[in-house]
Amino acid sequence: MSVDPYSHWHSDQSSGPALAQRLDRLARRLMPGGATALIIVILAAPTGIPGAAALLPGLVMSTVFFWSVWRPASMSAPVVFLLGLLMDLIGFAPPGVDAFVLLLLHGIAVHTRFGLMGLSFLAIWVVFSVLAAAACWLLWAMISMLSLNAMPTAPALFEVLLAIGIYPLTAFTGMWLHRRISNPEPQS
Amino acid sequence: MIPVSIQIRQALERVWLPAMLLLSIAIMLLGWANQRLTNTARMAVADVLSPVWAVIAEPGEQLSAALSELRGIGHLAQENARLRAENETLRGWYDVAVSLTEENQTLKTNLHWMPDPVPSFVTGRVVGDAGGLYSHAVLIGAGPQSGVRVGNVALAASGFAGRVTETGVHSARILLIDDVASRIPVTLETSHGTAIMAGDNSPMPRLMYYAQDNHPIEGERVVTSGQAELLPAGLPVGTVHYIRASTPVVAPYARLDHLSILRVFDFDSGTIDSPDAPGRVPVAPLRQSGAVPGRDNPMEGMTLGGVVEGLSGRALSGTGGGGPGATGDGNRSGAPEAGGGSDEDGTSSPAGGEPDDGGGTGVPAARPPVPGNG
Repeated sequence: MSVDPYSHWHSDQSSGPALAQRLDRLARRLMPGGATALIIVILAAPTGIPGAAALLPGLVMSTVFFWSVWRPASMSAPVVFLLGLLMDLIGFAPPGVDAFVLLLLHGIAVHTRFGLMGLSFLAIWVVFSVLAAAACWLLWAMISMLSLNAMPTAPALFEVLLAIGIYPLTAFTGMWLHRRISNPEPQS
Repeated sequence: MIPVSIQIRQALERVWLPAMLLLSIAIMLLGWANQRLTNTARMAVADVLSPVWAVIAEPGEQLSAALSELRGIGHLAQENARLRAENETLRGWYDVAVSLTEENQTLKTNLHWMPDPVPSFVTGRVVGDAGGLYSHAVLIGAGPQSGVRVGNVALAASGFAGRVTETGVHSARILLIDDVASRIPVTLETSHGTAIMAGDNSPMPRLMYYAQDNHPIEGERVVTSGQAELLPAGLPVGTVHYIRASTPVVAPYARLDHLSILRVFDFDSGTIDSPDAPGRVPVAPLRQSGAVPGRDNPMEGMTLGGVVEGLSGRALSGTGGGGPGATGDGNRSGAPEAGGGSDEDGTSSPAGGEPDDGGGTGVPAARPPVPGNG
């Protein structure tokens, strides 16, 4: 409202390039969230990928964790919330459960990101493994509580293992995207 | 993107996370308290996404078909030999089936068997996995517009797959029989026992509450039981298998993890009402309301083969003989006479008869169309 660094620049330029630039920046900014939403939708389709239902939470968790650590501007709390809600609605889980767990994961990642960014890849992987295991079991506990029925533990265990296993893939893809495609100007 | 000062932006960023956490907790409580709202929201999302999923699934199906074709090319001769042997066996079975069908038909005619109503069905493509990690359900691309209603029965090509639990506008969710929330009353064909088939999220649902002096036999067929008025009797479900001693499970006929096309039947099973006064001879024919659309033709029970035969039989009876609508009317007008006692059912039907006996008295009323078909 008060000080816009670009205000003098807007005034004497036509709005065309500025608008395009803004749209471009917005698209780049929303890319991680959009890609994750796309993954959620695609994995719910009957693609015949084995274990797609168990893979989805781990994949989303690793994506949220990665972007929360490396670029929280692209994976803000509202985006995480919407992703979680989409997962809940598509997966017919009790609504809000995935959103809550993902937000906790996001919060922890954002608050410890400066510590995490100094660590090696293996150390971050270990941290993520612990967090993902905790998140999966929290998810299990909450779904069991809300459906008043103890859910089987085998899928949760499988989910944890897949989450840990998928992290390197997510991290390398994310690193590449982070460097190459979606590197907008610093936002804040 | 709205230009705001750095201070406001930082303050907003600090507030976002707790606000969103609170919102998710609120949604959790709201969804828990108001299930109908939750279901509406889910089915709205499913309605929007089901065309997208259908598009995504198309190349995947083609790919898997091409892959299986490629795999088949490798041992074509072997496959051919196997198929020839199987064809030989099946031809033998075909003869057995034909003679048994004829025998069955004769017996049913002799017994004045009450024909079951032909169910209407729609066929839908499975467009999505609506289960998630802790439940097993699929979404099909047919909804109330095509006649799919909550409680309808979904059959895969080879057997019972599940029941419709939620419907959207042009999609419906089907809870599969291996879901942890699924409880199906079943009959065991060889031991004649009854049991409850309870899903536990494993590929093979457990059998529970069978009689302790009549244990399920390994390998016997499991069919649905008509007892709870949820399902018609006799739909093929699977075979009994003991994974451990005293832990019988059902190996379903339907391949629940690879469902692609489902038929959703409207068996209209809620219309069978037991008589309200226990001392009265029930005069209303048992299946009157089920037979209203002029579909009272002999149908061989509700088995899959029966459904197919019943449909072809209906086509035959529609071309020859009296019109189905006329028989339906005759059925209804003939009902009181049955209560008065025609010559066949004079022996049966005591006044305090059970509902099943009441069904027996209703049989002659509905019988007249049967000889026309036979």
